[in-house]
Amino acid sequence: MSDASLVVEGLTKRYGGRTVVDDLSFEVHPGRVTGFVGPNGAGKTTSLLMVLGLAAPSGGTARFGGQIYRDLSSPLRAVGAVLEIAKGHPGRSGRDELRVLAATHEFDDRRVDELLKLVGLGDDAHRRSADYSLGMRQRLALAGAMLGDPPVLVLDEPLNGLDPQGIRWLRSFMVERAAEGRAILVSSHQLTELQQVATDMVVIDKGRTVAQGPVAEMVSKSQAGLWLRCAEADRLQAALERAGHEVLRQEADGMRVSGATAPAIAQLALDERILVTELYPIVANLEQAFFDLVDGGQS
Amino acid sequence: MTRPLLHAELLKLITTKRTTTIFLLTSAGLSLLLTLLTLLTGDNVNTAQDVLDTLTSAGLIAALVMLILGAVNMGGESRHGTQVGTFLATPVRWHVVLAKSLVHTLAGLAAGALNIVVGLICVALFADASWPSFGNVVLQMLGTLGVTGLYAALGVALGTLLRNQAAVVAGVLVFLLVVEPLLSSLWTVIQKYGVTGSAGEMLTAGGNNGVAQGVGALVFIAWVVLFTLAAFLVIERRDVRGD
Repeated sequence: MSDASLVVEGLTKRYGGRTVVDDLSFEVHPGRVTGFVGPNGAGKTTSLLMVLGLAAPSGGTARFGGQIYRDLSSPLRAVGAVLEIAKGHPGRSGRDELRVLAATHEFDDRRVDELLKLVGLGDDAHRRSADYSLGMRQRLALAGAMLGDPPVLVLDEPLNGLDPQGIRWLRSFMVERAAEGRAILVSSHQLTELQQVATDMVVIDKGRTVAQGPVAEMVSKSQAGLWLRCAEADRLQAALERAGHEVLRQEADGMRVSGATAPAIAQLALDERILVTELYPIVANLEQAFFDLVDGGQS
Repeated sequence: MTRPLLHAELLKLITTKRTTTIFLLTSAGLSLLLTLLTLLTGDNVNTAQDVLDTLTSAGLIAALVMLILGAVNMGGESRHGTQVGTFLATPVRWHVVLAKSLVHTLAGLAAGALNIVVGLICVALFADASWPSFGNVVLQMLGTLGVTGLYAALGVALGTLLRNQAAVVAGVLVFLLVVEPLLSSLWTVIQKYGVTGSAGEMLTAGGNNGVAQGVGALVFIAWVVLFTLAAFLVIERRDVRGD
């Protein structure tokens, strides 16, 4: 039996005739941070809404410890969620926003104050949440997600609006929570930041799973290669391909070359009498792996 | 639906005290204005029945304001995006609608009580007519409390069904002040058993339009239950959209 904290199986969503999420399946495990990435419009938010019972799937299920979200008897103790579309009432203070949530599960006000301090909003607790910066609202949402000290966290674009200190703080927050054994599912556009915390990755595009697995494995599969910029790019590309190297033309005068060393490329260019203006290795990273997966490295 | 959820919904109402206070004061203020205008202009209030009719009109205005409060607060969950947190904490959404209805019924009762106090003071100070009997005053008070409470709950149901705050306020005003009176003029059954008609009968001691107060109360309660059940169905089927 799987030890997964969240199991998503065949999740599908159709609006009219349009399929927004198509047969999505993945798992999120305790003690691991699972990144959930995809281009804009890939279906990330819709998927998370279905996972959290806020949108009805057209097919498939998402189960937390075997139960769908709606059936959880005490949801805030089971799952903490931060969703980008969630907002606070403009007339209510940050503290009152949390008190309202806390009241549904009979958490007392001390827990609210404790969490406000944890996320660094202790001094701003009584300010109206409408006056909060985006970063402060994200911190408030995280405090809300932690109210019930849940074993699973679902975070939708939590890095948005955070300043560098905030991003650093959130990174530590996620790493510490995962180290405590919590399962974290986090969607983000900020792949460089995500690479620093995510242990696993689910990549979706056009509503479908494109890849999933450990981040290290995904990055190692990335076709890093060498970046090359030159005069007469068409002629050099043809020469490289004749020599058996794989070339991905990304700009009029620039290309990515796989399967060749820098000296080999330089020698080939010299033989062809073509001026090379840039030649350097591309470091394999999550961003590159992502682009390889979603658009075949065209970006 | 549980006590903690009721507590949470009550907290929502209390922690947006500016909005709640404005609506309660508007409710009481409009009642006061309408009662004073009726009592001080012209020669309209001469009998005990005239006094009851004056209190009925004031009560209906107060109730209408509380209906808008219910609709605005429920529609606000969608408008302000607070519904996400609300439904994450309480995934069985009809429980939220029910809890909000009950809490707004309490707010409506408070408005009704204010309305009664304002109305009776005005009558005591400015009416030349004889007082209605003690029994009728009690029935009028009970009717006012019931209607203002139920109107607030009806507002929650309508706010759930229509979601958009502006649409629900405009829709309610057009329906109750234009469409229903128009239909009432064509069919007496609407006049007697429509939403406003039955509310008026529930509110008035002894009833109205030839319908007893108790019957009017039952019909009006049925209307509120009907709209609330429709709200339950809609809220359970509606997706929270990310776009």
